[in-house]
Amino acid sequence: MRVGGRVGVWVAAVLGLALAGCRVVPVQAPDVAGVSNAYLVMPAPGSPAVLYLWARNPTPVADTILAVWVAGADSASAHGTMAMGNGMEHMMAIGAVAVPARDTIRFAPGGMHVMVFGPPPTLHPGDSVQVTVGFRRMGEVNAWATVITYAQVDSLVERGR
Amino acid sequence: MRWTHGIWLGVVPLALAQGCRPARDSADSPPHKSVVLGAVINPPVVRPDIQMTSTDGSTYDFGARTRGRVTLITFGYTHCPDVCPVHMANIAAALKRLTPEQRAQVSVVFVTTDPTRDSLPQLRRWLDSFDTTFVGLRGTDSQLAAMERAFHIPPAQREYLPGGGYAVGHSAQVFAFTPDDSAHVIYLPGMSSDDYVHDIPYLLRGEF
Repeated sequence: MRVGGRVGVWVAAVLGLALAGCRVVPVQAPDVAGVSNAYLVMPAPGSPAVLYLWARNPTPVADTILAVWVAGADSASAHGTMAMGNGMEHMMAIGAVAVPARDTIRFAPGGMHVMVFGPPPTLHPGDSVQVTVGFRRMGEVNAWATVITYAQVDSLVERGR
Repeated sequence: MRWTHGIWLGVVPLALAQGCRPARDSADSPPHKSVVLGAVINPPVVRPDIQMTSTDGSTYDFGARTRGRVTLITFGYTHCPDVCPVHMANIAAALKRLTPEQRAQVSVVFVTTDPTRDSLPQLRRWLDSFDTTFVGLRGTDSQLAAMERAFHIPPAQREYLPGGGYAVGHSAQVFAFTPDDSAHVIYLPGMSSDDYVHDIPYLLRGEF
C-alpha cells in the first residue's frame, strides 16, 4: 500500500513514466535535491513513529531543512542527540537542519531523527508512505519511505553516529 | 507540522557519568582483558532489592525475581521513538538467536520513566510488540527515584514541548547483570543485536 498526500508527487510519477517510455520505475523526486534511504518505523499502538532518511544538497550553496511532512500523520518534528560536553547527552528538538553545499545529512538511529506523531494506522511493513522535506532554498522534495519494523532497523538503517 | 524547539530527551551514558572505564589498569591487580563488546564498568552496579509494579498489576521485587539470572534492564518510555525501541528490538532479535537453554536464563526488564502516560496496559502492549516475555515495571515517584539511585543514573526529567505534550529525558544504557548479581557491563545506544548475541553467552558464564 502507498500513502501519499500531495499532488506534486503524482505529477512526478507521471513525468517519470513518460520519460521512461512507460516502463514502471520507482517514483523519485527530481535529482535537484535528493531524499533517499527513507524508512518509517512502525511503532507499537499509541506510540509515535520515527522516520529516518538521507537528505542531499547537490547545489554549491548551503541550504536548510525547515520542515518534514509525512502523509497521513498528524505531525512530525525532528530531534537529535546532542553531546553536552559534561558526559551528558540530550536529544533535542531541532528547529532547522543545515545541509552544507554538496553534502548529505543523515537522519539515522542514534542521531537526528524525525518523530512522527499520529502515523497512519493502516500502514504495514513493506508499505510506502510519502514524505516531503521542505528546504529553504530548494523547496519541497518528495520521496517515498518504506515502512519497516524496529526489528529491521538494525539491518536496514545505517546509524547516525 | 513545523518543527518545534525544546529539549526532548536526555540521554546520559552512565559510562561517562560515573567515569566508566574498562575494569583494568589498577596498580595492584592484573589487567582485565574484556571479552565482551559492551562497556565494562567499575565499580559494578549491585542488583538492588526494589519493588515496583509489573504490567500484570502485581508487585515485582526486582532483586528477588531476577537474582542469579543474567538480566538486561533499561529505563525509558513508550513514547520514545528512537533509543528505547531500538534497544528493545535489538535485544529481542538477539534472544531469538540464542539456544533455548541460553534464552531461558535471560530476563529483560524495562522500567518506565513516564508513569503518567505509560499505564500498565500501554506498557504491556508496547513490550509485547518486541517480546511477550519482557518484564515492564512501573513505580511511584519514590520507587523510580530509588531505582535510579541504585543504578547511579540521573533522575528522569519531563520536558514540555512548545507544540504541546512533553518528552522525558532519561538514561539510555542497558545494564547487564551477571549471575553474581552485579552489573559489570552496560550497552549504550548503537549496540547491535549481533553484539548482544556475542556477549550473552559470556555473561551467562559470569565472564566479561
